[in-house]
Amino acid sequence: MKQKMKLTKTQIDYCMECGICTGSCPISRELPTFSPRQMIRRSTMKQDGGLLQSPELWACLSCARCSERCPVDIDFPEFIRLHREKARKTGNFPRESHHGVLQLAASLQTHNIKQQRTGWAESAGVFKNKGDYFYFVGCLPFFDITFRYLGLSPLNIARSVLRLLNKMGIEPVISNDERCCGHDALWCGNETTFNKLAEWNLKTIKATGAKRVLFSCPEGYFTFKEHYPKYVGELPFEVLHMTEFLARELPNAGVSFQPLSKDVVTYQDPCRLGRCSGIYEPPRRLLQLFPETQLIEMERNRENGLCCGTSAWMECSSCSKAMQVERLQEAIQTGAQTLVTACPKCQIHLMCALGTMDQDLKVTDIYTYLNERLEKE
Amino acid sequence: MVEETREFLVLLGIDPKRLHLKWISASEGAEFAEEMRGFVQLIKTLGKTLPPEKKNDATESA
Repeated sequence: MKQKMKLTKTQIDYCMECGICTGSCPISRELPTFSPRQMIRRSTMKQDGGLLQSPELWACLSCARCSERCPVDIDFPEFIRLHREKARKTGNFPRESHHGVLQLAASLQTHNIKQQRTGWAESAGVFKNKGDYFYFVGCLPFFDITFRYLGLSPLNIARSVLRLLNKMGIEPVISNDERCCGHDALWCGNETTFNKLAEWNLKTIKATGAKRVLFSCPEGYFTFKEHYPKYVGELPFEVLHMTEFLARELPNAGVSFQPLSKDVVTYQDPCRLGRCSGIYEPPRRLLQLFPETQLIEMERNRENGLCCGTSAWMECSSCSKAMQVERLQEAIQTGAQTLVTACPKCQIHLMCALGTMDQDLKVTDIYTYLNERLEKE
Repeated sequence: MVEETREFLVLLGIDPKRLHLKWISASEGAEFAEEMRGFVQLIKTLGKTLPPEKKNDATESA
C-alpha cells in the first residue's frame, strides 16, 4: 500500500517562517548543517531540491522531538520515511551499522525458513503454542549474540518478562515462527521487506488464536499499533505494551516483591514508547511499586526526552556518541545510581557510550529491574 | 565473529555447516584445493540455502 504525504499551503507557509523543529532537533545541535526546516523547504523545490540524493536524509533519528513541538502538525519523521523510500530507488542508501548483520537477519526472515529462536525460553519459564496471550519477543535473540561484546545479555529482558507473566498466572505463546516486526526496514525505506515481515507475523499470530499481543519492545509495539493496520489491515487482536499491561495488572495479580537496598533511579523515555505512542506514566508507575526506589527525573523527560542517538542500526556517528554521552551525564547529574530504560536499543546504545566514560552508572531495563525484586520461592 | 555468525545461522534455521573457517597458508596450495573441493561438495549436497520464494509465502496456508 502506498502512503502519501501532502503538506497544505498553510503548513508550508507557517513552516518556512518558523524553525522550532531545527531548534529542537538533537542532530542539529551536534551537526549545524542539519536542518529539518530546510529539508521541508527543499522538498517543495524542483526535483526535491536534491533531497533524495542527500546523506542528511539518513541522519534523522525519527525521534519525533520536532513533530512533538511543530505548531502546524507536520509529521517530520513520516516525511523522512516517505522520502527514504524514494531515495532507495535512486540508489541512495544508509550506512548500516554492525556490518549490516541485523538488516540481513531481517531480510532472511522474509523467507519461508524454520527458525529456532525460542531456546532461551525453555530454561526461563513456561510458554505455550496456542493461547490468549502472545509474547512478541522481537529481535532479542539476535541482539543477544550481536551485543555480547558489550557485556550485555538482551535476552534477560525476555527472561524477566516470561518470569513476571508466569508469576501472574499467564503462560504466553512464544513462537519460533515470529519474524522481525519490520520497524527498521520500514524506517530505512524498505517497504518490500516490511510488508513481507508484517504478513508473516500476522499469519503466525493468527494461527495461535491469541487475543492479546504483548510487546516488551517499544518499536515492535509502535509498528504493530501504527503501521500494521495501514499495510496489512485491521488486526484481529489487541496490541499492548508490556509496561501498560504490567502497570495495570501487576498490582492486583497477587505477585509479591521483596525489598532490596535503597536505590535512586532515573528513567529514559524511548522515542517509540513516549513521543510516538504517548506511554509515559506506566513505566514510571512500575518503578514506584518499590518504596525503596526513588525515581528522579532527568532535566529532559517525557515529551522532551533525548533520543539514545541512533535508530534502525544505521548511521552511527560521532553525533550519536555525543548525544549518548550527553544523556548519560544528564542521568548522572540527577544523582541516580541506575538508569532504567524500557527499550533494548536505548540500553545497547547507552551501554556502548558508557564504556568510553569513567562513570559509575548502571544501565538496566525495566523488566530486569522488576524481576530482580520478585520474591524468591 | 565466526562463532557469532554460526549462532545467527542456527537461530535462522540455516544449517551451520554452511559456514566454514580454516586458516591455510599461501604455501599450502594442495591443502587449500582439497579443502575447497570438500566444501563445494558439501554445499552441493545440502542444496539451496533458502527455499524457492513463492509469490506470497506468508499468506499461503501453512
